[in-house]
Amino acid sequence: MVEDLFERCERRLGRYLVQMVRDRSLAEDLLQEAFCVALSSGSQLASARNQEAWLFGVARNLALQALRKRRRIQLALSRFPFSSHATDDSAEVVATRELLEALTLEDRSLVLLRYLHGFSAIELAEATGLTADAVRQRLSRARKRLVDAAETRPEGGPRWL
Amino acid sequence: MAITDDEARVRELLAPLATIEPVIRRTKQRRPLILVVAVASTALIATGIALAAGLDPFAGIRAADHPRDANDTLSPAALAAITSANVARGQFQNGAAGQLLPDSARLVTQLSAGDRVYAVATTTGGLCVLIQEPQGASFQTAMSCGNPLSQNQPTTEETIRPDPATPPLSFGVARDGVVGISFIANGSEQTVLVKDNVWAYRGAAEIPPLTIHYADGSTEQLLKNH
Repeated sequence: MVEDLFERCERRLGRYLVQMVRDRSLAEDLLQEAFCVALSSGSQLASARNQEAWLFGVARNLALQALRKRRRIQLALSRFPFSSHATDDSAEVVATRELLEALTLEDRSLVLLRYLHGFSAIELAEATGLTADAVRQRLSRARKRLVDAAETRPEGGPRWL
Repeated sequence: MAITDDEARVRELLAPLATIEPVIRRTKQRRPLILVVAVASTALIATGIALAAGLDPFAGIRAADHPRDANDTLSPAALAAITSANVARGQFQNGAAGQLLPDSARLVTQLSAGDRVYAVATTTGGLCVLIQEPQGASFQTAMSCGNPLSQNQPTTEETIRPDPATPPLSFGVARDGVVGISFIANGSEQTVLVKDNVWAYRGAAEIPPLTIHYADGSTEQLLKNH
């Protein structure tokens, strides 16, 4: 059952993890871990009303844990403290990531699941343990922050050092 | 859930992230532990040999090639950051990324705004670039790590932003022979000179592909996925 579930949503899950943590190596680790959690979940997964939402909830929790852990050790300034110099990200992707910095990690995780992966507030509530109303409130707040951040993106001229 | 204008706008804003290539699971067969240990041991021995043989991650960075002196001493905060980074690097990918060697730190240059740029070697022969940005009386630290500079990768490139009120700082350590870096920023082409192996530009959230200018007058476009 877990294999079937993974077959169905592995790529979407893998994409979500990269969207969340940015670091592909870490995302790979987390995908493996999500698979292990699902394998050892026993009746929890079996009793989930929406197994995909449950699995994405697991991945979200793992990503948040990893990011919090990393943030604790992260140096104050760095966007990608342990990344390699090279990056495959397009300018658009980088700009979007910058924009997501306006959100807390928790809100970011919800926004990605809602607006890029199509989960409803009710499914997100099940995946996160929040109430559906709390999810909606968070999404509403996050939307406002994102739109505000997009509108106030700096356009000032460059300053030579 | 009714679709609001905000929702449509957010979907539009996030759309670029939908193009990200996903990761997939690695091979489902785990290596036997003994093999992992053997591989790790071999890597460690190879690293030791490589470092002992003088494989120099600072090769081609003249400004970093000097005997260690007082200017190379990192702040306690930077040392603590390296310690933390080493803990993290040890936990990821079985520590394959290696450990930063704080005693290897060399000041490459100090930017006019006071930022101090250091090169730091790793136990696997990697190159880390560490920047200490002045914050009042103290410094804040950021760093990134990768392969040593090479003909294919003649410069590092990072963009940092201490806080939303400060314009981002893009900078890199470039190989000897690189005299300038060009890129499009804020709608026009910008060229910054390389001084003491370091280039820097403040004001662009993202630096697109770079054009490298060499001392012999030649140029080369450096793609992002170099």
